[in-house]
Amino acid sequence: MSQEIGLGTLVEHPVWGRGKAVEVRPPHVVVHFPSLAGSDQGPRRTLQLGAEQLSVSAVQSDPALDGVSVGARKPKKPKPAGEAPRSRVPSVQPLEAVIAWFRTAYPGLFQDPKLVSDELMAKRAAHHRFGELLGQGRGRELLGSGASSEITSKLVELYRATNIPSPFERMAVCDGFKDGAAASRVLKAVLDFVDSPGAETFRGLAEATGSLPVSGRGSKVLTWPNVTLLPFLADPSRFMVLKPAIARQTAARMGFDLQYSASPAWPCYEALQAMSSRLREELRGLGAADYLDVQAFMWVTRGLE
Amino acid sequence: MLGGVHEYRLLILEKHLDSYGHVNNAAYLEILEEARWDLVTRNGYGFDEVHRRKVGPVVLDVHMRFVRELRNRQEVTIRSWLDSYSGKVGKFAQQIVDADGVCCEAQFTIGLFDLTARRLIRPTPDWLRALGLRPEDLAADDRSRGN
Repeated sequence: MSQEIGLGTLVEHPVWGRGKAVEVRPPHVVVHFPSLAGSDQGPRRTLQLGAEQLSVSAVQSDPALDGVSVGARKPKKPKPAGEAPRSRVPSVQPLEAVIAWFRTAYPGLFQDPKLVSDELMAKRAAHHRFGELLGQGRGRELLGSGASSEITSKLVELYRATNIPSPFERMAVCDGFKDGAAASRVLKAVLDFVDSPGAETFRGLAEATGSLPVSGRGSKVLTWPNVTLLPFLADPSRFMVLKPAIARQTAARMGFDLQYSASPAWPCYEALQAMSSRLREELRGLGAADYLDVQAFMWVTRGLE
Repeated sequence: MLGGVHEYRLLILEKHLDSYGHVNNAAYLEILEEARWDLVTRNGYGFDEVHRRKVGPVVLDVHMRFVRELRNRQEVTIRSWLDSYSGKVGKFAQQIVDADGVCCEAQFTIGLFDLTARRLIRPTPDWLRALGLRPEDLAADDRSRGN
């Protein structure tokens, strides 16, 4: 099997998951594993080409890896002697200070009228709308009936119901939903993920979203908000939505390793879920009940640094 | 987004360029404004109508992202659409695109300004039509959506 591994080949590792061969120097191969992105050594590992634990992946395209370039990394410039290492962590407020600010800005905490009207009401309405349109088996029924135009209109309505994806992300995804078959693939992937969350179903969701047709001049269909919005609306007690800037900011505040990758990938989403769960516990005393509350907290505190 | 997407074609000309040989950042705003005027003029709310009514659009805020430079004699399309309208304030999105993709993205916060009273007013049905909307589109979207 190992003889088939060439430059750019996607491979599988039993522990580190899927990776991409970015350098081949027989008898070694250097593999980029997104699951190791947050580790101290970085995402690359040098392995024996004949290593038993390395096998060619059954799929040779993965949104998390397609953008990873191949070739040796540029050598780091040596630092001048005596220069202090620069911090890679941006300056952020500790979580305790952010919570203290939140208490002052929103005296009613998560029932504060301003927070509810500005941030929570529309998102809760969108969550309820998801239930009305696609919950209780209605989504599967729609898929079974092949009513693709109906699926398109329902997905467009849900994407329009919040401002979580940017106007450009929303435009791209709603353009893509005009293709009913592609919209149906996204709905199926969403329901599969919600029913059975995990690496495989997340990959399916990212692939379905990424395969939406774009106008050629459009942009940004495969983005974190576009991929993670619908599970969040489906069940905000279990699923968080990822907006990159505020997720990374929150991770820095909490000292959490988000394993962030620009392309939607399971290790990062799994880490987001763990971080959001921890934050929900921190905020429970303030009345936070679900990830709608957690997301609102992350959003309204984004400007503190 | 509300309503449809307006597309306005434009050829980048020498007047748009700066000493670097690409479109100057300030010229982007003029190009985007030109496309917005084309949209509302085609929908019956052009410059003359603004002055007859003494009510017209104003920009309250803009965020721009320059993705790729625009060069001389490049053919581009400006895509414009209304993203939301809540109370007196609307969110308007524009992209400058060419055959290879997006060159610039901009998000505007807009309002309708009473030139006599010198204050913002709620969008009128004619103004909504100028933006390509029907009143029922607004009713369906007249809510704060939060980020």
